[in-house]
Amino acid sequence: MHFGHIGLYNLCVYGVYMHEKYLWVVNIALVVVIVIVVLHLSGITFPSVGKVRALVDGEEPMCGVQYNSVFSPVDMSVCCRGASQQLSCNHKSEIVFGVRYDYICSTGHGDVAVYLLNAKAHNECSTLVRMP
Amino acid sequence: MSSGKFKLKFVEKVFIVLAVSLLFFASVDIAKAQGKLISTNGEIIVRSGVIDLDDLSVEQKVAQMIVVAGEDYHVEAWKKLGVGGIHMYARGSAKEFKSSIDSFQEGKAVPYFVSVDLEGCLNPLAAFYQSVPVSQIRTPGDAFQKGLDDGRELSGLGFTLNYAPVVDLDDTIWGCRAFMGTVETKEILAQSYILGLQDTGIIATAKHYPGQALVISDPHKFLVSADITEDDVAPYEYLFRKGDVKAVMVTHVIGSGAVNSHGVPAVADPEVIASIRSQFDGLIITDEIMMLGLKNYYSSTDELYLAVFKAGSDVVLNFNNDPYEIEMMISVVSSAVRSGEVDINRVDSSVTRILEAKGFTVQQ
Repeated sequence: MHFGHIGLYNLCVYGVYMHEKYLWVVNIALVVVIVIVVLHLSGITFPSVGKVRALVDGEEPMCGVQYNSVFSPVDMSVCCRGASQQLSCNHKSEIVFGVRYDYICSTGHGDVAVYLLNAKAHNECSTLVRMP
Repeated sequence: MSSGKFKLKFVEKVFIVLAVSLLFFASVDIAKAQGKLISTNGEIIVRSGVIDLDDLSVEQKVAQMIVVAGEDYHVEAWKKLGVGGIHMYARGSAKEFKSSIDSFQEGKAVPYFVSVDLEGCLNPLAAFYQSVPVSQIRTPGDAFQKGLDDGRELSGLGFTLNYAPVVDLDDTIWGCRAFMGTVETKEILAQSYILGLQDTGIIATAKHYPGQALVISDPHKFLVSADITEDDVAPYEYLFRKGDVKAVMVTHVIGSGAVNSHGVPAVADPEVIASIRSQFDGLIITDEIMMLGLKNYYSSTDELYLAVFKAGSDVVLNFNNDPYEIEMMISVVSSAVRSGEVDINRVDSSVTRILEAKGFTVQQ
């Protein structure tokens, strides 16, 4: 077993050689990654997947609270705060008053209120708070 | 083997430089994410249960007034900043809660407030503890018992502060968070619940002053304007007169009528807070300030922080998940305290109330 050649193939390991032109490609990729890391370090972050999806999604954010089969819509401010405190959000579609909700967030079983969010609302909340 | 054979080509030298750079920057980035780059405000000095306010830096005082989200990966960051409390979200088991709270409190000379929203139908402990919804409580005895049961469960897990009971008159959104009945019935049930809960050592919080926080609102609007009636504030006045409740939470509603917040969110209006203070000497707590409505009301978060601190609440809830944002908040408010924009005597009064609520004797 050898751990690398010398000269042209200095950076090879276990006999897997990297040609000079491929190494340039790797170097360019490294530069890109370093730029991203440095930007992140300086506080400039790229939008999360949730934010991008929320931006491109033309749907209206819809959120509501259900307790004992009674459903009430809530504004996004209340929704995101409440939903973020739940134990889990299950991806499960439910139609309430003609509106499709894609996530059901709750703290567990029993006599508790649950939060219903459509995908747009869930994505919007994900950009603001940690969602379960 | 001749030494010339070890000569690296230019492309290889570039690769090594880039690889080492990436390793360095990635390590710094990870350290930052773990809160290792957060400044340390230092632990408050306690001598035989006594804390001298003169021993506290302005940053330590401001930090004590902040309650943050108790995410496990921020244990180190919150300890460094010396925040006053952590708020726990739902967990899957009692063991999870207990071990998390224990790890937060470990080594703390001044423990955190450990808070929760256990209101009956909003129950972060639902995976293992079934709490009776307040809407099903009809008698003072049942309300007292519910307070005792909730309190015993919470204190057993390590909690110290519950943001309950809800004494809003109208609960049209959830229908299960506030006690049912007439204003007088709600007042008596809330008072009984408070007595039961506080019997177990848990601080109760009457919320959401001045009321109208649980009404159906336009999903597209983020701040509610409401005409507050005398009835809305009656439960608070009753509880303040009784003198047992130890905390009250102020919400972001823009009030007019019986409580006028002068066009700004109630939590940011000094007159609203002063009016509460004139009747109540316990902790005045803000609702979570990162809620979209309040956040969008101000042009910057710095402006929001200053408005809330200048208004006069004792405890400010900020559940922003970024420790550097909390560090920024402490820095912005501390600078304002030093410049006189935020009254240091006001801050000292709040910190005194907080530390006394945690069981310490405070000297000035």
